[in-house]
Amino acid sequence: MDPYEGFREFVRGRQHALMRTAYLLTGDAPQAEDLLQTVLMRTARHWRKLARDGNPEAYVRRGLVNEHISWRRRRRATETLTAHPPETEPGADPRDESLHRMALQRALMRLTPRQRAVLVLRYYEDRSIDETADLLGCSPGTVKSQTNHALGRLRALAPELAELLHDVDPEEAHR
Amino acid sequence: MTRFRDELRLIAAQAPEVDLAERAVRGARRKKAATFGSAVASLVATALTATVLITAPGGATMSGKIADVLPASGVDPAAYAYYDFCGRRWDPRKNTRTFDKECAQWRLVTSTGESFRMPEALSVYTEQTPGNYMNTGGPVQISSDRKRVAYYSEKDQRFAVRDLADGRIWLTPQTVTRETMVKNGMMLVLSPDGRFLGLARQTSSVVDMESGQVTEIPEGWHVQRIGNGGSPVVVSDDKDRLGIFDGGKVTPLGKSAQEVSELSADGRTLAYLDGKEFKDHFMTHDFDTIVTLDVTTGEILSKAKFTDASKKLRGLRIGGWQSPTEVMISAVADSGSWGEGKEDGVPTLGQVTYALDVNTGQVRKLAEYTYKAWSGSLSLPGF
Repeated sequence: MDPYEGFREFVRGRQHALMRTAYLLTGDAPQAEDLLQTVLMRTARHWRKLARDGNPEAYVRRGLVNEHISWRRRRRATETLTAHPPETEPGADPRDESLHRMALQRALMRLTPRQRAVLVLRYYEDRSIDETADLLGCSPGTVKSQTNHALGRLRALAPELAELLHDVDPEEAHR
Repeated sequence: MTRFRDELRLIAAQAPEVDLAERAVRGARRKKAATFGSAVASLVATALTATVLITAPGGATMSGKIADVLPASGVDPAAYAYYDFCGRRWDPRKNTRTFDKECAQWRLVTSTGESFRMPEALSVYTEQTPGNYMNTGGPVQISSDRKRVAYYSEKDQRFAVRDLADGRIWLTPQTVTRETMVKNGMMLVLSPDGRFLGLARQTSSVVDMESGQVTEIPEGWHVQRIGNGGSPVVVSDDKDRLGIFDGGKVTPLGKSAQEVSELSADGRTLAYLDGKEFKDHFMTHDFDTIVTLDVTTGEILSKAKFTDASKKLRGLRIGGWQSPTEVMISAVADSGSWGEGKEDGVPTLGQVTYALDVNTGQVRKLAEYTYKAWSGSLSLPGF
């Protein structure tokens, strides 16, 4: 029996959504691809068990967040690679809305991996405080305080995003 | 509240499409092999955490070893490619013909540490003569996104670009015989995404590999760099004077450079190394300055002298952009000389890559790529 039966179909069906999360976490396409591939390889190794009685997607998403946090820690220690903010366009029209997006991307890259993960899980994946706490392996109180810190740091790093962030409620119990 | 969410979604939508199913299965199989005692597979697993494979001098890359053939698809992004004359001594006057062997083929090493030989890519010219000994083999070029590789396909008598993940191969409409390759050689240039291939020798052209459309560069100019989307094209003449080819004509930039970077992501900024001087064909002064240029206006944007650490580097070449303010450069590895690294009688050759800050001239080491051989060729993405 093929130990990877159904795995390829799972990846083909979900990889684009998973890649988008990985891209938000890393801020860099090649690193996002490496991160997702590493987690998918691990998923493939445990595929039989996950397909039988697990939730493969939850396993991958948890793996993405945790692997990302530990990667960033290791990479900072060795300084062989650094995630860099996306290219800015000097001379681009300042009225262009994409400038806001670039400012947000740059500011996101200056958060800690855990702070970025909290924002991605809460405001991109629309997860509740309890779900986020479960994925990150911490208490709901820590999720709330991390969200507060992350949003406060974004505001400090990029004051031009004030309007974008002014109505974000860190305590909001989404869903 | 919705705008923040919307912006996150728009950022996430920039993520490129990927096809990771086969690569994940292959990686999982390798890991499984490692648990049964394969030392090689455990090396791969370690390397997986890094985008670039770093080899210590005399380390992971083995000379003369015959690797597996590049699989039809599902290959991880490339870290580098090289050939090493089977790890044997090479004398173009005597034994060139004896390198008609699998071990003399180009080898592609992936970012996960796998090594494959590429029989379809012409490597060492076995009919080499002393008269053109500098032109040792067919070229291989890796796109700076590491996903595509360009080479000369002898069976097709054309240049080819291959997508490593999905295995698609595109051939140039132009044909070139092996005899011409041995006699004249050919410079290959890939756009950062590997879609456009530039060919440069006596004449020069840019090929959109996906559509087959060929654009000839005006006589006297040679393609140096190609932006994503096929333009702009940076060209230079025989005196290293730079120009921009766009809309069928070349606009001179008023600057000269031998080592020119890829264009920045927005296609506007070019970096080049400056300061090298010659007298009577001998170099009297090496590169000591990094300059950036706005190719749309010809205006110099920045100029920075190397720091002391940067000045010590030898054999500098320039590649793509590492960040908005850093370009990648490569230097000859410290151990890459005939007098060093020869504990077992074979020299260690290779290159070291650095990120060079275009505003301060400071360098930050990125990775070492070394192999043990008497001679060979190494190709790094974007260089």
